[in-house]
Formats: sequence, C-alpha cells, structure tokens
Amino acid sequence: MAAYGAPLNVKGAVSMAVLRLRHVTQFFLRSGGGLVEAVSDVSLIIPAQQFVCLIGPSGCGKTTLLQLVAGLIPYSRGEIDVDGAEVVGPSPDRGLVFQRDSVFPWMRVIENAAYGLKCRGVSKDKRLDTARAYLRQVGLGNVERSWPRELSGGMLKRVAVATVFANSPKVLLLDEPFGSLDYVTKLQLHQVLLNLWSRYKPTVLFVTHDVDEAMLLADRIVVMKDGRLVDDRQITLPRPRTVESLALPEAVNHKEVLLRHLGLGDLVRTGLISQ
Amino acid sequence: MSRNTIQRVTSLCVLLTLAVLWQVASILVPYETVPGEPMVPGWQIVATRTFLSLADYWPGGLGVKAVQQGGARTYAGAALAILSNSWDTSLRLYTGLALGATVGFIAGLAVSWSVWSRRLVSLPAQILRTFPLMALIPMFQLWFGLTFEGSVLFVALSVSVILFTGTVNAVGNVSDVFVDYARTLGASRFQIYWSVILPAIFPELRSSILLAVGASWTTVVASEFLGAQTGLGQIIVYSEYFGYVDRMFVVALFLLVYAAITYALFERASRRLTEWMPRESPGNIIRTSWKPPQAGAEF
Repeated sequence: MAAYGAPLNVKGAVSMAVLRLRHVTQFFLRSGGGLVEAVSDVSLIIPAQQFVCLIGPSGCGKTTLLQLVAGLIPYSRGEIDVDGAEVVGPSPDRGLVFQRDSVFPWMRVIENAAYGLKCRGVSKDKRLDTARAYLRQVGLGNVERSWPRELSGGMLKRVAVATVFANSPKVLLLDEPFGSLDYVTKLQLHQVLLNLWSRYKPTVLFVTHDVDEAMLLADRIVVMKDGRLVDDRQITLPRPRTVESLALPEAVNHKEVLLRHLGLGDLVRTGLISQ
Repeated sequence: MSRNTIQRVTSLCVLLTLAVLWQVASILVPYETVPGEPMVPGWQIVATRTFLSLADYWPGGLGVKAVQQGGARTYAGAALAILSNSWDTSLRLYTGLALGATVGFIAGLAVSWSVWSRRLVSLPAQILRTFPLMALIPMFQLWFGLTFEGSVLFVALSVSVILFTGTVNAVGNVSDVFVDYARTLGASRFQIYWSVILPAIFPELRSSILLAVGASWTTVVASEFLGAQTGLGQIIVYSEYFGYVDRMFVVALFLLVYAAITYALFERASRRLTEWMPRESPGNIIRTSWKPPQAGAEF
C-alpha cells in the first residue's frame, strides 16, 4: 500500500481504550408475544489495542451485540463501558462500519469523510485537511470530489473506513463490513484496515461469519451461538499474515474448531483437533 | 438531430395538433351560449376580439380609462387587466403556497421528531387531511368573507395537507442505516435532520411539491370563484354569467402558462439539490425491450 505518510496535523493519537461488557443481556419482544433473548449474559473484556473478531452463525446475536456496544439500542441488563465510561448511546468514540452501504449519497466523498468532524464543530479547513489525509491513507486521494454514485462497492467501504477513522475512535466496531465484496477487494480492504489499525491502534470488535477473514485479522476470536459466548481463542499467528498463514498447523486447528462451532463439523477432517 | 431536439420538435407538434383540434371543434360545434358567443370559440376569435375584451376588467388608472367609465377597449387596457389580475392571483397563490408548504413540511417532520411531537401533530393532521377541501369553501367564505387572508388560508390548507403527507411518507422511507451512521459519527438530532433527513427526503418530496403547486393553482382560482373583486378566477366567474366562453378560455390559457413557468422555475431551483442522484435513463423511460444492433454495425 502506498498510502502512508499522513501529515502531522492529523489528529491521530494512538488509542489506549479498554472495552468491557459485563453480563450484558438483551431481550426482544417477540411479535407473537413473549420475550426472545438475542444476547444472553455476555461478559467480555477487550484490552486496549486488541483486534477481536466475533464470529457465529447468522442469527446468533452478534450484530445485536455490536449495536449494543455502539449504543444504537439500549441493553436490557448488564453493563458496557469504555475505560469506565458507561455506554449510554452512540458516541464518536465508538465508530461503526456498517454491513450495508452507509456512505451518504448526497455528499461528496470528502464531505462524507469530514462529516463526523463537522458534527463535532471542527473548523472547515481543519476537518477537510484531516479528511483528505485519511482518504489518502485508504487510497482514495484522487476521488475526493466525486459523488458516491461514481464509486464501486469496495471504494465506498474505503470511504466509510476513512470517515470512521477521521473521528479518532477509541473503539472501532465493524459489522460484517466486507461481506458483500468480492474476494480480491476483500483482501485489499483487509490491508487497508490493518494499516490504519496498526497506526492508530483502536480497540477493535469485528463481527464476521468468515472464518478465514477472522484468522487473517484477529488477535483473538470470540464465538457466539444462540446469544451466548461459547469460545474465546487467542490467535498467535505471526504478523504480517498472508494467505499462507492460514495453512499453518495452528490456523488449521483453529479453523476446524471454528467450523464446528458454525455447525459445519461434517466438513472437518477428524483427528486433527488438538483439544 | 440530437435526442433533445427530437424531443422538443415532437412536443411542439403535439401542442400544434391540440390547437388544430380545438379549431376543428370550433367549426364542428355550432352551438352558442348566447347569440354571438360560441360554445367553442375558434382561434380567430380568441386572438382578436377576446383579448381586447379583457380591457373590461381594468378598473382605470395609469392613463388608461376604464371601459365602464366610457373608455375604449384598448390593447393597453387588456394587458393591464391581465397583469393586475394575474398579480392579485399570484400574490394569493404564492403567499398561500409558502405558508402551507412551511406548515405542512414542519408538521410532517414533527411526526418523526419525537414521541411527544408525534402525539401532538399526527392525529389532528391526519383528520384534517381527510376533510374534503371543497366542502370547506362555504365555511371559509363565512369566516373570512372575500378577503385576501381567506384566499391565502384556503390555498395554504390545500398545500399543507399534501406536503404533510408527502413529508411523513418520505421520512418513513429514509434508510435507518444513514441515521444510525450519522448517530455513531456524533451527529445531534438537529444535525441528523439537517444533513441526513432533508437531503434524503428531497427527491421524494419533489413530487409532493409539484402536486402542491398544481393544487394551489386550483384552489386559488376556486377561492376567487366565491366572489373576489379581482383575480383570474373572478374573470372566469363573471364570464360565465354572460356566456363568454372565449374569455374563460383565454384566462385558462394564462393559468396554464403561469403553472408551466412555476414548474420550470422549481425544476431549475431543485436541480442543484439533486445533483448527487444517479442519472436517470434518457427521458426516464423504462427499458423493456432491447434493440438488436443495426445491420452492418461491426463489433
């Protein structure tokens, strides 16, 4: 990636924030009456600068959990805090990259990237400079005056990532952000994300159902099933990781266990799992 | 010829055909409302005698004597009559349009602003919306008489119900993901309305605004039917008393032109606000068929 060299006026202090979830529970009212527990008694501490992937089969509650941390929906029970500050609603400290395209189509790329700063009252020159610097870091320095309709799906994700990073979040939340992208674009965006993460080191909670993606990105993989955390694995594969890293014995072991969690036990060769 | 030229020439041909059809109808329909006043006046009448007769509606002044006071029917008088009556009607219309659009739009936004504003606004607005507007005319007449305010309020009412409904629907169609994204980026409620809701609903709101403009021309003329002393609607009503179909027709033509100008101005004003939208297929025609390449074309 040739996008390094951010100017020093970029507000990009290295982050040191701990995300804590204690006994977090979320009920939904079922349409036919009765309660559904989308998230059941989840406790998780993510140390500063750690990159955590949350995986689980679809419908397991992982997106709900992410929205609780983002503060988009109130949790029914428990506690969520960032460095001791309780989550009571959305905050630019907790940036969220959405699964669907969230980039505002009615703003030019640079206005999108500067939007968070604008909301916080940063002066026009300063916020445009900052936005420009982050756009360059995601490789979009040349399309800042474009409309989103002129961009591809992968470029729109880059805009969203730049926008969230321009806000200098302490915690970065991503909800299957690259799920809709093709394989090559997805791998490129992994590099974009890892570059920014290694530079600013926000604490990351990345929701995905893609085991390989999780293994390429994460320091730690947490597995969720039926609203509960059922596994928590440290991934010590050396960085920078490559596609070959996935063939290392450690990776193969992790992958087999993770696939079993996802209900794909039949696809896994038996006997290799180191329990 | 470019696509645009073809489109313009076609439109012009359609207009000319309509004019010719009117002329044919004027020949085929032999009836008169009163002797000398044809039911379907041909263009030879409309373009000469009729326009001049509009001088009757000039109350005098600016060096042109009113016809009622013994003045001759002059083109100057006719032009002044049209101008002053158009001015009166336009003033009622645009005041009513601005007032009604503002009230309807704000009430529409209030429905989504908070639980309390929704409670306050929603039910009364929904009830008002279903009132048959024309049934309210006699009530407005008794309440406001023939005043400027009466006309304006009547127009405003018709416009506000359209804008209210349009705004509520458009806000309802804004994708949650934009609002949530703005919230996580630190936007306040006011900022979300200003920089997310407003631009997101504008394309959909455009059709409501165009509907409202159309309705405002209808209601302003209707309000003048009640017996206003000036205005284009009043000319139409007076013409009916004497069977002057030609005058009604001329006034209707003017109304048509004004409405067209209003639409064109609005289109132009809104172009910049929709610059971000994906370009439509030419002329907005749904592509259902696929023309095979012309014979001889090589790829």
